[in-house]
Amino acid sequence: MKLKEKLSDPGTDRFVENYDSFYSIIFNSIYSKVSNYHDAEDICQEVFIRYYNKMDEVENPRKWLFGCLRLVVFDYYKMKQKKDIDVDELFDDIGMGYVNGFRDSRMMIKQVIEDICNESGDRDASLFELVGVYNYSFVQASKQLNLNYKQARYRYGVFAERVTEKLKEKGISNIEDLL
Amino acid sequence: MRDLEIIKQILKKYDLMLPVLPREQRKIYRSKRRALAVILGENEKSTLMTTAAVRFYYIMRNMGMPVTLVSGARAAVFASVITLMFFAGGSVLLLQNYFYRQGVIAVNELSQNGIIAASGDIRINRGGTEIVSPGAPYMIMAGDEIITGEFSALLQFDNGAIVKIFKKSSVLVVSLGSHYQIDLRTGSIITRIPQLAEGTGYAIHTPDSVVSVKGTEFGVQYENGKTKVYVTKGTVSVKYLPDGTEYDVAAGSSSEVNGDKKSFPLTEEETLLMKGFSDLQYVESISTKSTVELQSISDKLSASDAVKSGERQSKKMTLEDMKLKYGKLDEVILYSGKKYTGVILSRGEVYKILTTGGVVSVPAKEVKGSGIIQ
Repeated sequence: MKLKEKLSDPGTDRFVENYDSFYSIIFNSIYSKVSNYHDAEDICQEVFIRYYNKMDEVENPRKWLFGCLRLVVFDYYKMKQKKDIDVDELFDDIGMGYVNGFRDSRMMIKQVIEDICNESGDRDASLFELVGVYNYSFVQASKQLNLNYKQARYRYGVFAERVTEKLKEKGISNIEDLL
Repeated sequence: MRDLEIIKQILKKYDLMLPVLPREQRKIYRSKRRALAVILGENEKSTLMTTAAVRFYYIMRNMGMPVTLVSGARAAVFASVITLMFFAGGSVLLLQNYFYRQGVIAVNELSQNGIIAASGDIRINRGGTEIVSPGAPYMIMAGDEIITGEFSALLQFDNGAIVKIFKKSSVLVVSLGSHYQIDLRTGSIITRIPQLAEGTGYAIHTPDSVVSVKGTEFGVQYENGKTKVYVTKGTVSVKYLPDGTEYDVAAGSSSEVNGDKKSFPLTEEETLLMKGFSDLQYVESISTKSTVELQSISDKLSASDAVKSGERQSKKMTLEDMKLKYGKLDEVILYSGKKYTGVILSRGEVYKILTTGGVVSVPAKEVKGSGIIQ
């Protein structure tokens, strides 16, 4: 495919839209696991190359990208022959291993967020993760997601409301009780 | 608003927060732009276009414009063309400036009898290579030696100086730029220069003298081992090299340069010679001048030569003299309404008409009609 055709292809536009929505959270997710900026950059790039090549077969980009992530990390370290890195260990959620009074609440909150992320639009989910999880400012998050500041604040507020409602459904009538 | 803060605190408390520093956030954003170009440029021969398209896509997006990669690519192409034009224009200006700093030579190829001939007798010696009979305008550079034959030549420099080199003269252009130096090896030159800027200079060297000025009209002659200076405007400073004598020559005076510092009033011949030179003016943007305009300069140079050789009367004749000499008088009417009365010396693409004011050249396409009036 010639470059001109490639750039004007609707598939490319769709890819760029998803790329803009997910790149930062995929990168941060990898970075939080491998703790090496350059490795994270290479792995993230590889994830999106695979996505670009398989895009037509993917129904839920968010799920697919996070699923592909683990596989690419494994391949990457295998290729680099870094035998001392245990990929399974990298993906273990240490928080889940806590046996204390917070374990159930943590699992519940995480599940609620995950559910809303799956139900919401890709961009809203990414916005919540960038601001809530990765502590991005609204300005920086809106820049990453091609939104303006007001849109970002509003969308984040709507997402937070849904979190509150979902928690109520789970029996948490006042979210301050979780603090 | 309060709920937003509470949710943040909850995420923090339950260890669901993985803060990324602002510096790293910016790095990730840069990485994002780079990676997109790499992904889209994969298997492409030229990744430069993809990189440019992606870069412009993000620039325009950050400006709040609804863009796609195609519009990014278009913007990149447009910017490239503009940049290219900018650099091309800049280069042309620089080159033009470089060349314009050089002299321009208008060669007198017209004999005194009005016959157009490729004189072939002016030569430029450039670094050991001889350029014979260059057409006008012709650029000269520092280090060029200009040797005239049976006809004179006219030079001008970007400091506004105009120089007439008389026939059978030899001149070396030593330096151009802020300090002009012309070495007169043999023959005569006349030069007119406007008031020079601070820190600039203009000097004519002969084997035994240095004539330097700040803004004036003067002539220098070096023949038979003697330098002669004649001044019509301003004052020139003269230095006689063998004994270091320095003195000024004022307007309306001439001096044979030697140790006795004597000046004399200009002779009639010298006055006429300088008067002929006054018709020769500095020409702006000479490289854009048409053949006709250049020919007109050449005509004026011819006319000034005629003055020097005592043929002034033949060039500026009265109508009666013309009728006596040519047996007729012509009238040429231009489309502009202008009318010339005199004798048509030649026809063709350019009409040459001898008038009471001298020879004038008129493009044939401007001529509405002509006829013998008496």
